[in-house]
Amino acid sequence: MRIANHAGRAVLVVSDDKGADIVTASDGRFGPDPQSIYDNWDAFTSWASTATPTPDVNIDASRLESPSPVPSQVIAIGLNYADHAAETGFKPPKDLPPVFTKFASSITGPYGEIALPDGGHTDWEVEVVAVIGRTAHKVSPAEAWDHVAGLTIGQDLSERILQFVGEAPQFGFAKSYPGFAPIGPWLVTLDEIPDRDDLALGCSIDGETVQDGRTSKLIFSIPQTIAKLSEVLTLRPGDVIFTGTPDGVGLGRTPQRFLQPGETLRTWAEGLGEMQHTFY
Amino acid sequence: MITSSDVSVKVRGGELTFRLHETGGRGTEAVLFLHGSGPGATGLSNWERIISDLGDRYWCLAPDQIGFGDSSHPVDAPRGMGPFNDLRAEALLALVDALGLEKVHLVGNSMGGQLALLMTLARPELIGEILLMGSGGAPNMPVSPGLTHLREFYASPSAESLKGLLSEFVYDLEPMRDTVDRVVTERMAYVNREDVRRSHEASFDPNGTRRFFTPEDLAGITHHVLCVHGRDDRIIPVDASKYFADNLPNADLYVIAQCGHWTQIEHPEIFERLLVGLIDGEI
Repeated sequence: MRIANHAGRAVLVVSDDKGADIVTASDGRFGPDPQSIYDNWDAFTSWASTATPTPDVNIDASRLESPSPVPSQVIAIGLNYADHAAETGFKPPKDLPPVFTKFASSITGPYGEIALPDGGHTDWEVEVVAVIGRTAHKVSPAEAWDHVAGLTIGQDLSERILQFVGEAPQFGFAKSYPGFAPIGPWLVTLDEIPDRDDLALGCSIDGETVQDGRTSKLIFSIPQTIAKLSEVLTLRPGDVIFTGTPDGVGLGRTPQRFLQPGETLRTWAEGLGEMQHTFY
Repeated sequence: MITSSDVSVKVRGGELTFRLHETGGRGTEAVLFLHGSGPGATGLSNWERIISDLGDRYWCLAPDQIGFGDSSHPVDAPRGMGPFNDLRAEALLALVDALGLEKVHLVGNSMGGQLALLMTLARPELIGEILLMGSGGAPNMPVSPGLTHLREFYASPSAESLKGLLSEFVYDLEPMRDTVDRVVTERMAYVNREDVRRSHEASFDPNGTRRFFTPEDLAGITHHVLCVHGRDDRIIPVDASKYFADNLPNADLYVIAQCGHWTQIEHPEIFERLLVGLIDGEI
């Protein structure tokens, strides 16, 4: 199943341009707040397996918002692909890669315009994003997928000057300008994903592909990441995990390249859909 | 005289509707006929002849399964035959309750056999006699070309392809040619529906999970079960019914010679005698 946040309301996606408002379809039992769906995830999926809604929403891509708009936590993983670690001058992590947050005020939807910070070097990082469906603390890798509601796509947009200007890197801060955490186009539940451990992902700028990877090359796979995070954190329903970006970011290019006003970034992942953003 | 109506049931907090075809009525033994998973299959196209013949003896109930025919097609149905059949069996039990039945006999054809077993495992006290025909759900069976064709039917969903598939269902096509042609015509009207296709693809999602019945599952079913199988079944091998008969504590096995997967259509007289014998306690 695919669950979208369409203009702030939870919608079951029936086809790419048709959806069913979840409040109407469930006689008020679930929704309209997309975030509330995760709080009742088991009851919701049980109900959804029987739902025969009449499509009553024409999906307008420009009105899609993040499928988890106000998560209690946003957790991101750095350097989780060996080729990306190498291109940024770091050694591939042997134990847990760096863990940081993108502050929740940076979350935006899958389509629209994003402001480039003045004088900055704003870089792209396509990632597969996992959204938690059941509270996870001290779960094993084998149990981890059972705690995931589904996957979606994210861009871990990063302003590199602020990120590296100080004595210690400012990961979370420099990755949290408004709109720097686009998530979407919708949540896809795991049963709809052919191989949840091997998804192609990539992005292009004005049609030129700049990143093209596969999640099978993650150093810490999604379930390993969740297991590791849950050794310390309590992951709660709706929490968002940016799982890492493959190589091909602007920082690692020769010469370096960063997003320019007027450029359009298209971001995709296999089976999850795509997002598109223009910068100004 | 077959009558058809819609019956809605509450399942998992949602509402599902069955298209129910029936003959006979209250006051006689109730028999629930469970059809199989062929493309476009319905209660009527599987059981029309049988429930017409037996309506004067029993209350014959032949619903379209959830995800088939004119019954509900959930938009986000569970992927894979295992989880989707769990939903189908829950809905069937809700249907039996909605009809106010305290005891029902089950006749399960192919996928319908798996549904009969799931219903019995969940609510053993509700179930009387059980007849399994060419039932699915036995582990470690070879996947026949016919079964592969069935699963992948929607790669090229034409009348010609359906006719080729249904020809695999019978032992000898010649005497069955008119029947196959008629069923193809009836089923193509359903095959072409978007909701029917969606349900088929959810059922046969290659990444979905399937459910096999273990010897331990079967040891817990103490009902009298008659396993019927066409000797020349090219969809599910007769070994599947042998497995059930070996592991169900109270099962008999009847193998019909010169008969394919479509037992009740290819040899309706034999099938009816077996069913009546089972329900009336004569075998």
